[in-house]
Amino acid sequence: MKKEKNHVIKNNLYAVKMLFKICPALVINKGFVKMADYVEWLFYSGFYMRFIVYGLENGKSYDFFVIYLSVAALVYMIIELYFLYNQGYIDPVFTNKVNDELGKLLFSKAQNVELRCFEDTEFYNRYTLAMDKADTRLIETVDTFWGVIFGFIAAIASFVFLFQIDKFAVLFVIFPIIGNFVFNRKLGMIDYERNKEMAVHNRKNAYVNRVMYMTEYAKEIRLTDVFKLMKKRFSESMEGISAVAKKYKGRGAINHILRCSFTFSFIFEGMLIYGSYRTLVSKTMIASELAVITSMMVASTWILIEFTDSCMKSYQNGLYIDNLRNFLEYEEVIPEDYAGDKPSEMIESIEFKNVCFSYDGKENIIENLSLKMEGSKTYALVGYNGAGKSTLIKLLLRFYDPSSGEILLNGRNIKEYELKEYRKLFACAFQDHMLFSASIRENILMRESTKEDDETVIKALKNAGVYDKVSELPDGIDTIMTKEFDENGAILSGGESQKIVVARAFASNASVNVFDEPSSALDPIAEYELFDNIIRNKEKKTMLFISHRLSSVKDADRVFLLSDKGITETGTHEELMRLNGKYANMYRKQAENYLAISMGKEEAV
Amino acid sequence: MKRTISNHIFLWKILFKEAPFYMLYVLYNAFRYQFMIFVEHTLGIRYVLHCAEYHEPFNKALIVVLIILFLTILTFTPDGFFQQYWMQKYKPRLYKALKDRMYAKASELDLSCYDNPEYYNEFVLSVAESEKTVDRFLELLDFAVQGITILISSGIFYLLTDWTGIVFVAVSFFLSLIFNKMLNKLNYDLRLKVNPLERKRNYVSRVMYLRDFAKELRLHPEMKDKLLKEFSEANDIIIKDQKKVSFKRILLMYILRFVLNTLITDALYMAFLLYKVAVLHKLGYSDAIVLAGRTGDLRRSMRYISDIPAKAKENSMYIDKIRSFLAYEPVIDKENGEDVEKGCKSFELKNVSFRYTEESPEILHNISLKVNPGEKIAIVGYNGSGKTTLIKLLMRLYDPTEGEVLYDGKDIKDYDLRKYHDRMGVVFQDFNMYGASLLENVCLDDIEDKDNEELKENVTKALKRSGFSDRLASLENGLDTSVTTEFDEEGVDFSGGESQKVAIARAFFKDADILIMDEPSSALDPIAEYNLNKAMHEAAGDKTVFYISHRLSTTRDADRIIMLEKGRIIEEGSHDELLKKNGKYAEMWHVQASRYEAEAV
Repeated sequence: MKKEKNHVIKNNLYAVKMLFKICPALVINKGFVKMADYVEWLFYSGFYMRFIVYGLENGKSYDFFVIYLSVAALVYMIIELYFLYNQGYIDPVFTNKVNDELGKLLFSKAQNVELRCFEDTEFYNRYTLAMDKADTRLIETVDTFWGVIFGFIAAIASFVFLFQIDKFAVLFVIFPIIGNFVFNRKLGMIDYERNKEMAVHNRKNAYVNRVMYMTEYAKEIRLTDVFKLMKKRFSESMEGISAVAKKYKGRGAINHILRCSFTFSFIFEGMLIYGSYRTLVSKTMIASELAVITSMMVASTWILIEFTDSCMKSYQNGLYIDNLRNFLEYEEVIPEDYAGDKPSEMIESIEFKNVCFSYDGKENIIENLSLKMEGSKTYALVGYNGAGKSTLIKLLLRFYDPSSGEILLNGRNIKEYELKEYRKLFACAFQDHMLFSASIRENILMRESTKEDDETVIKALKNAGVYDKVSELPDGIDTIMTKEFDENGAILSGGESQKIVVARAFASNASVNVFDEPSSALDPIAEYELFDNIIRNKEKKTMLFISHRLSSVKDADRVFLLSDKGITETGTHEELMRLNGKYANMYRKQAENYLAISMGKEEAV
Repeated sequence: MKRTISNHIFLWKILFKEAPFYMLYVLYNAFRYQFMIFVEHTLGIRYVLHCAEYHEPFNKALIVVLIILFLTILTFTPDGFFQQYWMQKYKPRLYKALKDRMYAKASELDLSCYDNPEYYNEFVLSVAESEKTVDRFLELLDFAVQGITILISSGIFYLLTDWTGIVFVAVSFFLSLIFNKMLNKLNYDLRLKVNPLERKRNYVSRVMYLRDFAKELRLHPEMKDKLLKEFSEANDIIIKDQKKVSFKRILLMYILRFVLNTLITDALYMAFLLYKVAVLHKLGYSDAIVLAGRTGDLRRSMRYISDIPAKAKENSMYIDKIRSFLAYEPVIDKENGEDVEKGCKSFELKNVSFRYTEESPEILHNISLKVNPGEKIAIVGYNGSGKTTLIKLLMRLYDPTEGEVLYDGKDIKDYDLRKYHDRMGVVFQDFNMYGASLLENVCLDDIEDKDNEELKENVTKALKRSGFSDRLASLENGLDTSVTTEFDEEGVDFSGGESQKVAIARAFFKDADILIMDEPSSALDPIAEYNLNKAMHEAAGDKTVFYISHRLSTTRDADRIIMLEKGRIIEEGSHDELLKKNGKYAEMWHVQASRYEAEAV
């Protein structure tokens, strides 16, 4: 617990330092604003009234008051101006500046960490937490930090004022202190526990909600009775929430009542009684002091409440900053800006040597895998669902490093190359492709593009078999994809999007092309044409296909069958068929129906 | 205005029906809160100061203060239960009261509503905002009651002690309204200007941190640079826009906060009060202190009340959406209609044409088709030829724009849709796993009696037929295994292929007369595909089957193959017939089969 506290303090300081580096003016101004805020508050409740009542009791002339009020108004005039300068200029302008700087910092980091960070759920969750509204939360953390510091000073100052007026009055502060630090803390704990217990039910609610409005569930809701199931889930979670609420009912209510009584009633009414006793019975207090002491009492109670709130918030902020800090201080295993030699664009060979790999450090997905590809040839990787084909591609692209063994390019370990340059050797079309909200030409070249690129883009689109569709669009290759920013943006079907992604590979000069199920959403004719075009445009490129449609991989120079965590069969299609192993079995199963007809034909002949 | 009120009454009725006591308490609580502040801080302090100023006996002050203390603690007591129990319990119920209605509506909404982005966005927004709408309404009630309580209590106090205070507050208030309007306009205009830029900014940040984009960005760092540039440009413009309005904004805020607030009600009114006390001697100083202190309250109450129309209007907009959503009458009526007889019956499509919306192009043109009971129909064609749409019409997820679909000689519109759907087992390309037990995931229904052995047996059988047996045996909790890690950390996330098998088991379980399959094997490896096809072949039995696939090897055994092109049936017949015809189907077949054939030869 103590260690955690230390941690929280360190994190808060880290946040202040960080914001100071990005935007010192904001940190300084936030501090001054907080300070001025408390000064104004203390002045108003401690001096402003006190002075007036004091003047009245001592029969000061009206001029005295006019001068006094004018001076006070002038002071406020200046303070207010400063506040509003902050609110109207400093805050809006610098918040955006922080958004920009921090955004760039976080994005660069996010793009520099290895892919694993995105695929490891725990890391990813922490990281999205860190990214979520990072700018405002960082500023808020600094704001609360000042709140804690000046809140503490203001609380002490208010006690001193009270003490000055009446030595014993300050003792009444004990009530709100108890209320805040004993009962409010207990309430906080109850709240925390209750939320924790309710979380599971709330998650259920959120889930039902999602199922009920997301398009992907709409069909099933209409065709089946799954709605009833969801309704039941919803009712269950509601019962759960009620039960949790009930569980904390007694403890919560008692603490709440005690907290309010101590924080507000005891101090306030107690003070009134004490004050009026001193004024009326023992006559040791003058009326002006009585007036001030009551308003001072209210003020110090609220200052105290705000101080404890700030402390609690600061604590939460500390936990949040922890995520941010961990993320920024995370040391990349494979940083994207990994330095090394520049690889040659000529591919002689790519080799996997006894490669082992596991995502979780426990179970190997790939074990002792070896394979060799030579430049300018065509390879196919086939295997069952879940055999690890996509993992192999990720290793090849160095999204991950093998846990043991090595991957060689032209005889050198790929770790020796500069990562960016190494990746440039590859053009990939993934199964789970993403299109960006940018023009079609930019989506194909994946960079900013001008008219000069027209030829390349159009050729790539033609080869991918989607040019006809694109030329039908209002702005042709300049049409913006998705409706994110453009009302007239194009939304393409699954098959069309897949073709756009394949066009990326056509437009690139990379030495190696990797196609991961490029035709899964295509009809047979389109599929045939696509493969035809890929082979026709092969030139000197090295090709690697992953496909379940074995007819499309049989022309490869070499087929690798991935199963049982390694390459179990390798050779040309014919060789593998002769081998009569898993590949042959797979191929025959798939071909059975097609072959049946050809047998029929033969018979007919 | 009228609409705003009627909307809120509509919402009140729903909420009040769900939790009448709670809703009344919400009103009372707002009143209690402000009233007790008034009693404590205005009446209490004034009385004590009075006693001090006019040297009344201590006992009088003591008794009054003790009464106040007693009253406050008394009113705190139910508040403890309100904050710590009722609120926790009833607020979710209030949300649920509204959501139950919305979900029920969502489940019977025409599927076409989902295709209309405008309608769908509104729908998503109203679901997403429904909780906040309730919150805003409760807040509104709270503000209204608080404002009125202060206005009445403090107002009476001012009238009885010194009415001039009201004048100061009123002047400040009405001038504030004018300047506030100007400030709001300024902020609103700015927001309009900045909004698209912020969207751009958010888009970039989403791309940067969503895992879907991670791979692409790593392979194409130039794309990253382009996006970062756009991000910075957007921010630069936002900062420029903010700077541009800052002087005017500060000025307006200054007038509002300092001139109209501090200066008029704090300084000038104070000067006036002091004049009355020190020069005219018409007012005791205890009254002056209390009066000066209360202007803030009075001002606040006016602000509460003056904010209400705008806030109510905003909230009303959301209620409007919810109401119009709830009032939507689905074209496809789910509840009424005739029973559907069990057993295989014939299908007939008569001159069916279809377009998704009035503006969109026609997807199917004048399709006529007769399907005999138990016939196996394969639907093939290019991407975008209308295969899936045709299937959707058969299932009555949509009604045809023209023509009719007959089942057993009757327009399917005449049947009770639920019962009609009960006759169908459907496997889509895009299916979902639900956060429920495996058993429930197969039945897709709320099962009361989970230990029903017969049911369990049927589910197990269905899973076996879809090739899930081995996996089932490996599950510790068998059919009770919770699926997805959505809200059970012990839950199991099945792989794509496994999920597909569960989805297929659903169709087997249903004992349907009609089986509809839309590319069920697209994600499977050849062996899994082969096994699935075999299983489906067996399951089909004497059922009527509709099968969509790009892989012609899986459809060739169909009794009849329907080839669609651009929304028309261009060829129809058995595999052999179509090959003989040597048309488009034959072309497609040869393209796919040639490479396998070459092997055989």
